[in-house]
Amino acid sequence: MAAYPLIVEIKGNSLDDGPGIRSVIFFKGCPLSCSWCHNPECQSARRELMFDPEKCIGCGSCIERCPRQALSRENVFFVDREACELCFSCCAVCPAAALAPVGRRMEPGEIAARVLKDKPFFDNSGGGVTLSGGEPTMQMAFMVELLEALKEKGVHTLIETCGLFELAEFRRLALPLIDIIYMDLKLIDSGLHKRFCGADNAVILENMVRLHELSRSGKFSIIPRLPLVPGITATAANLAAAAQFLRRHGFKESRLLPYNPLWGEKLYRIGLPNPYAKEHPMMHWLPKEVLERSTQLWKEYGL
Amino acid sequence: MEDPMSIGEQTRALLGFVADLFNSDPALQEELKGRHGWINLAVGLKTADDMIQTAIVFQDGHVRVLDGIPEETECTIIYHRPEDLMELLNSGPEESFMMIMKGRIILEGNPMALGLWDYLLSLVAGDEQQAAVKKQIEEHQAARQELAGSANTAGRQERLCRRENRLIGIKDEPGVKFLADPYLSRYGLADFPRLVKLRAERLAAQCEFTSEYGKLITDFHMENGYEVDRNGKPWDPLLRKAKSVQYLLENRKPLIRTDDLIGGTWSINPVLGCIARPYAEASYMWGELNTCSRREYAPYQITRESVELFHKYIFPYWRNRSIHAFWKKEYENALGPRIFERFFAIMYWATVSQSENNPGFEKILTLGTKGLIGKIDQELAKDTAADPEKRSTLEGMRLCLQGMEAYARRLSLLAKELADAEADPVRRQELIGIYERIAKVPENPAETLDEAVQSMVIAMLCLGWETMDASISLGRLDQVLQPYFEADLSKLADQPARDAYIKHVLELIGCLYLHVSSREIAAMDMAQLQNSGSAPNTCITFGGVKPDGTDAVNDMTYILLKVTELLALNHPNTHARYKPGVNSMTYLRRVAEVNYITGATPAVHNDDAMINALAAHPGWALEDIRDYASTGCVEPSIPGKHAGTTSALEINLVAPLEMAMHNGRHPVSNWSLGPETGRVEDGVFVTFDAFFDAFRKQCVFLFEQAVVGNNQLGGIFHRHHPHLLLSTLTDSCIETGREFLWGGARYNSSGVAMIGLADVVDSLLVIKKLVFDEAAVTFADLKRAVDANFVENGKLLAMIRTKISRFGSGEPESLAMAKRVMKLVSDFFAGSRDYKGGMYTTGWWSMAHHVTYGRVTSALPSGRLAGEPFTPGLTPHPAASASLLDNLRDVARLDHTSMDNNIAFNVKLVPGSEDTHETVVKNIADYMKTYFELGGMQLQFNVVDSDTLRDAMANPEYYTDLMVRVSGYLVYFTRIHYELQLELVRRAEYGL
Repeated sequence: MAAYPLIVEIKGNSLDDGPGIRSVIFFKGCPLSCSWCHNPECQSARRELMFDPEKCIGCGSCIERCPRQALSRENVFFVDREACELCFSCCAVCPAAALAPVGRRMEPGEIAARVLKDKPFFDNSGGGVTLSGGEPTMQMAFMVELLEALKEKGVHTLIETCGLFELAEFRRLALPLIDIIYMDLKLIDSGLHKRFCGADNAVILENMVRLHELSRSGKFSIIPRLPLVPGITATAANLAAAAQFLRRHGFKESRLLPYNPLWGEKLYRIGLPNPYAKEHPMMHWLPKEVLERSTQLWKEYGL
Repeated sequence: MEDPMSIGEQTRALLGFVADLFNSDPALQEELKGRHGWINLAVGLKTADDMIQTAIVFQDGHVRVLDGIPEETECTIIYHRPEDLMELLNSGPEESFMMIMKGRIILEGNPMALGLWDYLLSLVAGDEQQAAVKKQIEEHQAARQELAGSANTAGRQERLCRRENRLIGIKDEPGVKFLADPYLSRYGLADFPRLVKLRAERLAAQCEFTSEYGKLITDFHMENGYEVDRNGKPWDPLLRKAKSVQYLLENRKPLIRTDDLIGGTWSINPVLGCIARPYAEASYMWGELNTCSRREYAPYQITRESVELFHKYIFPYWRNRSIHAFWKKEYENALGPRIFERFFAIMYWATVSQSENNPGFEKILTLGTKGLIGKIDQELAKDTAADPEKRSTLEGMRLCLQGMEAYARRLSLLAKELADAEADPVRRQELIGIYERIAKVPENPAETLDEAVQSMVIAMLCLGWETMDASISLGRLDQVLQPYFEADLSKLADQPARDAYIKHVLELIGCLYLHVSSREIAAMDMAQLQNSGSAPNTCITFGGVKPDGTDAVNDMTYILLKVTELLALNHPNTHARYKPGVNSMTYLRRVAEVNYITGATPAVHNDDAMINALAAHPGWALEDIRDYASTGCVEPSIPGKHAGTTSALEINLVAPLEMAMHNGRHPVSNWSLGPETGRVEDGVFVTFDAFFDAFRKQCVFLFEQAVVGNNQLGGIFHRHHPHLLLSTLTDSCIETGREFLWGGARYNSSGVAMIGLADVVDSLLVIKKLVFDEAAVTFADLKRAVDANFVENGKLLAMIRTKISRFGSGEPESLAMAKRVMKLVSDFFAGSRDYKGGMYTTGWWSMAHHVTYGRVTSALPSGRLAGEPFTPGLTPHPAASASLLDNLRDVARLDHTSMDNNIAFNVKLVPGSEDTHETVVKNIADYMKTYFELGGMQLQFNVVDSDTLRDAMANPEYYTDLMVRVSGYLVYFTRIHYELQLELVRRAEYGL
């Protein structure tokens, strides 16, 4: 059981993660550490404790129970992450589920059973299952097992990936089981990529190009997606470079994703300080004009 | 505690003050002079313990106050504490209603006499009452402003965009013969200036509370007597009603609305009026004659002449002849009226109406009144051994049809006069057309679509004037009208002529919708708490399958969808049937698009599920069942064959649960009415099943009261207001010689709606799991927490809310509990018999009762706090699951046979700002298709987000035509009760 990776959430009835009505499976763990990551709780592959102050009713049951005295109202984050040994006994006594482990180890069969309940909706809408995270390819063997279980039932599959994975293995094991790949194209400049995402982008760009070539077989499609992060990816220079890259390699379809600041609250719940003040652009929705300007530029490049 | 003597003195002083005013003020003296003589009244006021007893007596123009309550007292106000009485006299209508529901005030005696007392009081305390209303309005306004806060206002613009982006359809059905683009996407409302004008007038109108009906019916009985006829002979009730209907139709004023293409009006106000029957719904309006024009919701316009007519002439005559008065008189001390008058558990609609039905309009279209009279005469000639009841019934039917003919004759003469006087040649031509058509129909069969629609409208108006129901439904209108549409079109050779004709049909059907929309039901102020904003609910149904099971979608289906889209009215209430595997995706997508554009209509029904449910009724033929059409909110009935009275009873299902937890006592109304099934505190419930059995016993007790009361009322209706005209359009009333309400119809049933299913199921799940399965809390402790509204029990409340799976969560145990409760209810009703010899059908929709009953319900084991609304209809609680699909799957898996009066399943959908029109429509259609294929029975949408609703609460001027579905019925959001608005805002919303 311990061999299985952590699944943070299975979200049913999603209309924004690929075609049709879909279930989205969020994996825990990612090789990148993008500074604007929308799912910070999915970054680390390790177990974590989450505290949601909005659910907390202040009954104090958890404080009494904690063997390490790691919980305290004096602490702004409530949980002392140094002291906490992740025994999760506080979660068991919390009546409001304000304290909860991030994710649960699940077998592929259990996941498949959960999502297959919605198969009639997938089929009628042209939807299916989306693997997201985190980075699903980090759990390659597990992911393949899950994809096999889904494909056996004829489910349409889509994977949302950062693109940083070992291509040969991916191609051999996973690709035959995938219908659509949504691959992030964040920053073209490798220095900036390293700075904001914590790793070099050479492999990512190479994978994208290679997969695009392979997609000409018609067996799957790949759609690059560029998240418009104010001042980081949504700069004129990066957008132009990205557009040129896509043009050069003959991509026909790609997406621009408008930035949203909702991840700020999630940081607190896993005990991380928010690096941005309330007024910072990163804490606001993408300004309309930036989206319009970017879309315009995208159009000018024929994308 | 105050000295009881001083309380008694206060009461007497107050009454003495009223008496002095009436004795000294000549204007008030005038108010006591009725046309039939002095208006007399004796009202008693007493405390529940009889310690204080006082009365005020109005006799022949003199008013006095008595110690003690005299024999002749017609009504008594009973109060527990002196402050209750003082509060009642000073409070606004809503507060006084709440006081009655909570048992702080009990009203006994003749309800119309109480209305008279309220009327007299309004003459002397009008200013204070108005101040209370004003305060109520101001409080609600302030709350709305606060709630709106910084709500996103994008909805104002977004709603308008929906109307502009229209999809084009493809011809996809064999029944669609003439529409190249069945979606008729080229037309917008602006292409129909006539409809723009008529619609704008309707939306801006204030309903008129008219007195024409009341005056005529009173004139008739003044002349011809009620209990006995002119010769002193007891009336044959069938003929008494028939002759009064004939008199009404012969004498009512014929009118044609300016610019209308169809002749006739519902009331003397062609734009919007109610006809106010003094023995039924309007019998409750006596006390509000002076105040209804200034009330917070749905104020009426009423002329001074009408107020005087009602007060001095109409109401005094009907004072002891209302349905409600007969009920109390004939069934002295029955429990039914007492439960009804306290409003917390059962709404007996038969006190005012035999609810909604679908007449067989084809009969009037194909036979005309002439042909129908021929059939009646034939039957009379054939059945020489007919009993007197059959003879009277058939003769009565004929009289009613003759009344309809008389009304049509006068209407056609009017059209002629108007045409002669008309200067505008175009309008003159239209009026001549109306004249010619009415000269022909409804007396003769209709041959063109224009004639068919005109004939239907006249029949609809006359049926409404007979049956006291403004909500005669129009059945499967696409099936009824398609033959005329085809016949007309086949006469036109070239495309331009055909295009012009199709445009004309859209306009004509638009006028038909506006006729439906020009009617309201006279409703007292407190009806706002039961069905706030409701129109009379005339339904139009389209789509589905034909009686032979093949695809019924045709040109008229798409015409009706287009008119529904263009006019976006809350009345008629439109319903789309969908048969999986037979009806096309083109059709379903169009149904989805019209829902998106209008935000809330049509409601959608699954033929498989509905037909399945009805097929379980013994003796119902499949080809008839396949012809079902909606009526009322959502209920199925078989047009022209079925006396369905589908919304006879609306029952609070949470009440028996509370009574089971309180040993038979209903806590908030403070009344021990149910059987003693055991005290939770005494530990008598050792298993969950033992408690479930107590719940069952309380249900059975309450349901029996519902059935007994409804059957009593049905008999009263039959004896006083038989539906003879309706009988002429219902198989097999002519052949059997029995009227619609007395078993004459081919199929008979009465319908029940249960309110609060999810709240009951979720509560039972909590009791089962926490008390019995897991022993996490004792039943007594759980009850203590519930009784204390969970104050100091935050941990238990949090545990309930986070750890117990609700109905709609997708957990098998929750679904099983829902099925168990539904079966308990539907088994009882399927096994009960109504006064027509039919069964009772069980439905799960709630009007606005889920809000009002919620206000008089204490906290529940489900974690719902005291006073909060229940969930509407059979919709799961918003917290049941984050995924709409879990809700959809659970509801789809319920047993069809336990919901044979249909369900109302509300889903609030919110389009994403990035979504295209096409994507939104596709998504809605995909949800529907799958839900129906899984077995779901009904689905209704509100395609609007909470921000828009909040903005609309605070800034109604931007949203005058914003429609939403409550639980079955459609309303204009800005005109409904504040609490109901809040409930709609708080419903779960799912992104598209």
